[in-house]
Amino acid sequence: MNSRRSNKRKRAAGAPPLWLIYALLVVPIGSLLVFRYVPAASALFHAFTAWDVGGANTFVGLRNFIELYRDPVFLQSLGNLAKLGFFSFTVSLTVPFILAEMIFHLKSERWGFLCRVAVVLPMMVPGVVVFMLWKYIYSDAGPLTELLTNLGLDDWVHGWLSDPKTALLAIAFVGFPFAYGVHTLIYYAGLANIPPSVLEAAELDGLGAMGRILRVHIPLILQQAKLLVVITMIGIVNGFESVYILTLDGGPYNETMVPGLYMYLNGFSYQRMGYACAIGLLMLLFLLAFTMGLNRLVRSDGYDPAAR
Amino acid sequence: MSSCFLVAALLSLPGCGTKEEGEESPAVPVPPGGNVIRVDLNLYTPGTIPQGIGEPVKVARHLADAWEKEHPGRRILFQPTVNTGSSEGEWLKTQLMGEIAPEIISQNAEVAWQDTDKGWYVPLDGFLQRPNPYVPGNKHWIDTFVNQALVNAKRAPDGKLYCISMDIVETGIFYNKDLLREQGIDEMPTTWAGMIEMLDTLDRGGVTPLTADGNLATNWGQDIIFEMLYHDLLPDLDILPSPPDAEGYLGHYLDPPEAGFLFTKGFFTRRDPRWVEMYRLLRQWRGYMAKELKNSDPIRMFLTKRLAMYWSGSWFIRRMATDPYIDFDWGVAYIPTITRKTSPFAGGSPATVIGGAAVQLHVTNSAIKNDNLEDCVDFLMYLTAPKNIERLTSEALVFIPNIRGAKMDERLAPFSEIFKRRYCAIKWLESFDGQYKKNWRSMMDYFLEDGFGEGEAGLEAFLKRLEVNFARWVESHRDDAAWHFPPMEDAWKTREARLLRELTPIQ
Repeated sequence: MNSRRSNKRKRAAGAPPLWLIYALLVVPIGSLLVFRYVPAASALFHAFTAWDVGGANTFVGLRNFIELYRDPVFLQSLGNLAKLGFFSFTVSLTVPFILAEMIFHLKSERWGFLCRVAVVLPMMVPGVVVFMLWKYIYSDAGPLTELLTNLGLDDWVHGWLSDPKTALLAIAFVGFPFAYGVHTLIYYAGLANIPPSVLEAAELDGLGAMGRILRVHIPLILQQAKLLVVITMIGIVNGFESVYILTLDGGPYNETMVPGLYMYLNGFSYQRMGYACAIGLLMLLFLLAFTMGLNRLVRSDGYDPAAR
Repeated sequence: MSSCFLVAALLSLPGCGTKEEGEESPAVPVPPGGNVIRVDLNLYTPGTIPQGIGEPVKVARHLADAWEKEHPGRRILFQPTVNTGSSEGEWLKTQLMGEIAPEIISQNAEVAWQDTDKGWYVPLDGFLQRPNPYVPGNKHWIDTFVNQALVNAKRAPDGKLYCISMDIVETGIFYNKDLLREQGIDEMPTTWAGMIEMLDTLDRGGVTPLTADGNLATNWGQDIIFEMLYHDLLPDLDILPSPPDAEGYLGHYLDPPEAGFLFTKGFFTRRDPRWVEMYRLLRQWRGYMAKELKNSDPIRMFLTKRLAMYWSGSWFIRRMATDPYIDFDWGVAYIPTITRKTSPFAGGSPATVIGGAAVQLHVTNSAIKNDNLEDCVDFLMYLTAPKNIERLTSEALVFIPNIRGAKMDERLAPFSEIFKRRYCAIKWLESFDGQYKKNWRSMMDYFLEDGFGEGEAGLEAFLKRLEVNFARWVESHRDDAAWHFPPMEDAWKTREARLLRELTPIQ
């Protein structure tokens, strides 16, 4: 009780009056309520209805969820999500980490800066453009076909997005070489935050480069890694832009269908908004459960010198 | 360097209707009100560059200015809608639901049909019976349309007409004559067997023989092959009497309820040998198309002489006629006839057309809310005056006018010839709705990529799945008034014996 009271910050002299601060907060909080929470609450309600956009809206209880449980397309989309998620997790958590380690180990400040800029620059290209480029790369008239043909590998020329055997893999490979800017910078910030004294101590203790990475770096950037896991998972579960742009309808025959796209199609194409809301609610519950589970499983407070 | 690549890649994206500076943008906030009519004219919307080539179109603006002069105080604001052209027009749906959509929009009628019961669109039947004041001597606006059957084909299942079809689109095979000559081919074949022979020759010569945008080749192909295999059977299969104006062009067209009814009798299932044959032929044909069924980038392939034939539509004429870099001799042909040499079910009837109405203009609920419905209709009447539609179509060079007295640009002449053919017996994918349509298309892609397995086993597995989807679609319409089966049952009884002979007996 006392510690909580003592945490109360003293107001600085000349600070604006409290009523003004609260008044100013009304706008952002109000906007959040109107544009974020109300639609979310509406979706929560509509998950239990059969709602045709602009048409009738009937309460159906758990029917949408029961149907989802039996819906082969939804179940297949979960399988696809698991495959894509495994691949994305692996590459988006490891490649940026390796990259951050390499940049961190550069002796030259200047080269370190240039590398960081190089990693961040591609982020300026809008995601849709990236997906369109990959669509072009995979097309019959695209550079991949050209490359294979010029190398004399005509037999390898392929309908990458049309062939059920390769479509999902082709989607997964979008973003190659997976040097994601935000991920790399977050890892790098974590590494840069490790006090030099800790690194020196590790060196004095005779730890080699790999030993330092495994026993010092990774434990001390778990906080950052946890954040990245959550961000990546949200991106994987909610994202369907790449699939929508590359295969449009999750084809061939749902081989690239993901829950996000299925939710979108149900809402706007099949006009089953209630069903789409049910899919959205399940996605939300999954993400909540995942984040809470992760918080319980991986407890890391990072490096806190005061705790010593 | 990479940004140059990006820009180049984006600029080369085909078929983009890009917008130019100086035209009204949807972002400009204009308060909707009785005096302002917001209009989306699809490719005719000022500022659009059809096919991404040439100058932006502007005739519609000139016409609107002239109309405004005759109607002081009224204003036409062109506002392109964000519409994918299929059923995912989410932006438009939200606008329609909120009664804030542009008063006049371009939308495929079949997509609009899904929402007619919501009051989002205004029925135009009454207006079509009025005289068009911009056409001297006209008594009924509807009489100004050349092809009545084509206009009426867009009648919604509730019997009302929610759109006007002022122009026509048709498909055709653009072929590179030089490339064909290099492979020893001087003439386009007139029979399916001849075409397969030619495709073989091209394939052996290392040229991609034929493809189309997306999966259109197989979608369109399905409808065309269907008609050629079922042609002789159509008078019996057409269970519901067709309207008198349908004779000829739209004769024996199968409406969705008819297709559903016939399915319950065993047609369009594995018991129907024509149905099986259709997919057999389609799969054989697909083998000659680009490796990527939906992502082949056919325009680039065709223009860079790596594709011998590109099945596209009249809209592609604009590029072929105006692109200064096209340095090869080209022509336009049509799908050849399936003969007995190819299939025992073929009667030798020529391939039908599958185009029809192009820009289908609807008046939305905003016109009622803003009390400017009469002005909206008047503006549509003005647009469809022969001189005006002629100016619109000649500038855009993508579609053929469907208004009496309007001349067609002579560069579109090959399509006018193709258009003289009969219309297909059914547009299969358009007949299905929502999820069932998507399932079918998706299954077909999968089948054509051997996803269900190769050979007869793959065909069997595909048809089995297709039947499940078909059955669910029929079931979903069980309570629809238009799907009332008893009158069809009566008609069926009179021809049952003949039709059942065409099916294999139930095992």
